[in-house]
Amino acid sequence: MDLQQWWLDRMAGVPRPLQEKLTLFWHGHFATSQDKVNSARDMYDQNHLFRTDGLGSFENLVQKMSQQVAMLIYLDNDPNEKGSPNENFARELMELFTLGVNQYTQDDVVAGARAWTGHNVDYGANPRVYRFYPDRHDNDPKTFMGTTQNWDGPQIITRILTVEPQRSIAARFIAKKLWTFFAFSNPSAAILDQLTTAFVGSNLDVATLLRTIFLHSEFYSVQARQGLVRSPVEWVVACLKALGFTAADRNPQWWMDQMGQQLFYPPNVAGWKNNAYWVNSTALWARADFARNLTWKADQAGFLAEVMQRDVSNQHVLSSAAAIDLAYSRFGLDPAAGSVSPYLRGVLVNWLDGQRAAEDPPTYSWRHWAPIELTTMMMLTPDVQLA
Amino acid sequence: MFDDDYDDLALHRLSVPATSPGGMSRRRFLQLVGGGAGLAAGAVAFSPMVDQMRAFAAPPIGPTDGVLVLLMLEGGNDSLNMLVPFGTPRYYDLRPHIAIPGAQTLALNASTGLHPAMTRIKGLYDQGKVAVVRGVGYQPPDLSHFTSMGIWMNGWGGGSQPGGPTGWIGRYLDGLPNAAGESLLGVVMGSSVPLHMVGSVARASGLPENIGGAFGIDRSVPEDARMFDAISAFGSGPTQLGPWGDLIGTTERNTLDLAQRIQPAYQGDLPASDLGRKLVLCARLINANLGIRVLSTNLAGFDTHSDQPGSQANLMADLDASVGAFFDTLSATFKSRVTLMTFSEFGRRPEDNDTSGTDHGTAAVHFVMGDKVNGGLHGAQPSLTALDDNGNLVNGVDFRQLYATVLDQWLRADAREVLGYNFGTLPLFATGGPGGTTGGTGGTGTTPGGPVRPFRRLRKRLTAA
Repeated sequence: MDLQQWWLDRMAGVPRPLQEKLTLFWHGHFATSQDKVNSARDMYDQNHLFRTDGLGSFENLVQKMSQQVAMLIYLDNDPNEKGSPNENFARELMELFTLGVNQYTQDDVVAGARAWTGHNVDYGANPRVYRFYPDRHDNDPKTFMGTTQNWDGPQIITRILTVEPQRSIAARFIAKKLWTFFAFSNPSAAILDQLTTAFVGSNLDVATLLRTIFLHSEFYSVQARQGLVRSPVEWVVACLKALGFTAADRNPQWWMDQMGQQLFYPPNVAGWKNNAYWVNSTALWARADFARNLTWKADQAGFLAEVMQRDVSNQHVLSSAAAIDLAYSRFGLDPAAGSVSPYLRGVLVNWLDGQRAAEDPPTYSWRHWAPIELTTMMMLTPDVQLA
Repeated sequence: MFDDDYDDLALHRLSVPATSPGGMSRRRFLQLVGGGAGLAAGAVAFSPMVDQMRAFAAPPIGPTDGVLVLLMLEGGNDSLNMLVPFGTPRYYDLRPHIAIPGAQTLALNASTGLHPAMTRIKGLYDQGKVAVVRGVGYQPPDLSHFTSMGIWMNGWGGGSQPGGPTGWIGRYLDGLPNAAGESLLGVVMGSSVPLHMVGSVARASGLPENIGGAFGIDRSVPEDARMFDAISAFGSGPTQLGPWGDLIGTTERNTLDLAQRIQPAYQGDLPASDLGRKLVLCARLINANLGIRVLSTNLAGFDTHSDQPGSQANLMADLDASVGAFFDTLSATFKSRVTLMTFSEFGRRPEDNDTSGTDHGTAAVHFVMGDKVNGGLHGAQPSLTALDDNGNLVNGVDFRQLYATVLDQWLRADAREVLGYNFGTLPLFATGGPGGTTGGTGGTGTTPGGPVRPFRRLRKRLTAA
C-alpha cells in the first residue's frame, strides 16, 4: 500500500479532519523523511504517534517522538555513543522542536548530544526498535543550561519544558507556529501572550492551546479567512473530495513533489513553510497539470451532466451564472452567502458565456471540452486555492 | 502581513518564494497587482496573451553582460574532503575515519588535491577555468543550518536593512530595468524560490525540472486558449480575496506567460540526475537568450553527520558530472558570458565524529567557474591547528568579498549598494570581463590570504529570535 495515498485518502474521508490536520502539522514540525529513514513502517509508526498523542501533553509528545526509530535515524542519534557524540538531534531538539533559534548555546548542544548518547536503534530486533544502551551512555557530568549533573536525554526535554524561562519560550514558539498553521502568519504580541498564557497554564496541553486558538476572536477575522494559501496536501484533498475521487485512484503524489509538498518527504528538518512558498510557476504548473489529469475523469463525478443539461429545444437549462454557482457548491463555496470573489466569479461566468457563444449550437467539442475545463478552472481559482 | 513573513519564516527557515511581494510596501504591492482595479467585476477584458508577452519581455543579454549561475550545496558541504590538504599531517590526525589519502586525490599542487570524483572539474581547472576560493565564511559563525543559510542568502553587511530582509541577488535584480515587471531576470530551478533570489520588487521565477502536461503551452485548441486566457484574467484585477488571493492570481497570469517563453528549452534529452537535469536546463535557458541574468539551483544532502565518505563521494560525482554537462551545453555565443559559483551554509568540523561523519563547521571552500575566471587557488587554506572555541576553522575570506567580486567584476553592479558595505574584491576574474574570446589565464592565479577587512556587525534582527 502506498503510504502517501493512504494518508491523503484518510484526510479526505475521516470524520475527524482536525485530527488529520494536526497530524500533518506535527509531521512538518518533527520532520523526518523517508529519503533517509527508508522504512515505511518507521514512518508509519511516527505518523501514528502524531495521531494518537498529538492532542495531549506536548512534553509527552516530544519524549515519545525522540524515542522512535524514524527520528533517531533521521537526525543521526542512532550512532550517538559515549566518546563519539553526534550533535544533530541535540541541536534540532532545541532549535526546531522546542525553543527556536538563539535560545541555546553551542555548549548546550554539546552537552545535549552527550546526554543523548546510548539512545540508539536496536538493529538486531525485527523490526528494528528504539533501545537505550546503558553501556553506550556518557555518565560523566555535563553542564546543560547552567546545571552540571549526569544529564540523560529525556531529562533534557523535561528541563526545557518544565523550567522557566525555557518553558514559556517553548510555549510561545509552539503557539506561534500552530496559530500560523491554522489562522495567519505573524500574530500580534497580544494574541501570542494570550495563547502562551493558556498553554503554560495547562502544562503545555495541546488541546487547551488549540481550543484557545479556535475560540479567539481574531480566528474569525477577515485576516484569518484570507490568511492562508492551501498547501498542496490541503488543496489536493479538497479537490479529491469535491470531485469524488480517491488518491488511490488518481495518484496525486505524482504531481505533489513539483507542487512542493510530498507527504513523508519534507524538504529538510525544518519541515514545510507556508503561503508564498506554495505560489510560484513550478508549483502552479504542477497544480494545473494535476487539475487537468483529474478533470479528464471528472465527467464521471456526476455534476458535469447537470452543468451541461439541455431542455427539449436544446437550450441550456442552467444559465452560465447558475452553472458556475453549481460548480462552486461542489467545492464547498456558496456565492449567495458572499463566500466567493465577485470578480473571479465574473471571470468564470464570462468565460462560460464565451464558450457557449463559440460552441452554440452544441457540438462534440462543446459537450466534451467546456465542462471538463470548468473543473480545471474551479480548481485553479484563487477561491479554491485559499484555505 | 508580508513583511513579517520574512522575519523568522524567511531568515530562519529560508525559502521565500520570489512570487511573494517581499520587502515591498503593501501599497506598492497593491499598485503592482492592482493594475486592473478600474475594471468592474464581470466586465473582464480577455487581452490576447501575445500582448502580455511583449509587455513582459526582457531585453536580451548584451555581448558584454555576464550571466551568473549559483549552485547551492544544501546541508553544509565538507570542504576539507572536497579540497583535501593532504600535505598537512594534522588533517590525518583530525580525521582518522574519513581522511582521503593524498594519492587518491586529484592533486592541484604538492599539498592540495580535489576529491577523487571531481575529474571533470579538475579538467576545467587545468584549463584555467576554475577559481578555488578557500576559507570562505564570516564572523561570528553560526552553526544553525537555517540561521547560517539565512545569513549567506541575505548577504547584507550594512546597518538595518531598508524595507525588510531581502536576498543579495534579489537586490541586484532590483537595480535592473523593469525589475518589477520582468519575471525572467532571475530563475530558480525548483519548486520554491529561496531568499537570496528575492528582492524588494524583483521576483525570480521558479521553473520546473520538466513541464509535464505543458499547461498553457499548446494554444492550438481554441477551447484551451480561451481557458488559458480566462485563467490569466484571474490575475488581471484585485481578486477581493486579500493579498494571497491576488498573489495566486498574478502568479497564474505570469506562469501562463512563461509557459510560451521557456518551452523550447525543455525539448530533447536531459541527464538522469536531478542536478544534471537542472543545470542543463539552465544552460539551455541561457542559450535561448531570454534575458535571464541569474539562475540558481541546488544539490541537497551535504549534512553528513554519519557515514560521510560514501554519500559525499556520490554527491561529488553528481556535482562533477552535472557541472561538466552544464558547460558542455552552453553555446559558443554564451560560453564566455557565464560564471558558475557554489555556496553552502557552512563547512564541517575538521575533526570527524567517530560515526564516520562530521558535525557543523564554519569556513569552507567555494568554486567559481567559467571561461573568464582567473583560475587557480585563491584565499589561504585555513589553519588546522588554530581552530576556534568549537574546534572549527577560522575564515580568511568573508563570503561577501566573493559576492562583491561577482557583483563588481562580473555583473557590473554596485556591490556596495547591494551589500550595504564595501567589502573589497578578490582577483577572481580575468581582465576584460564577460564576453570576448580570451580564455582563462592558465591556472596560476593566486590570492594571498590576508586579513579580512573589517565589517559591521550583522544586523541584529538576523540573529534575534
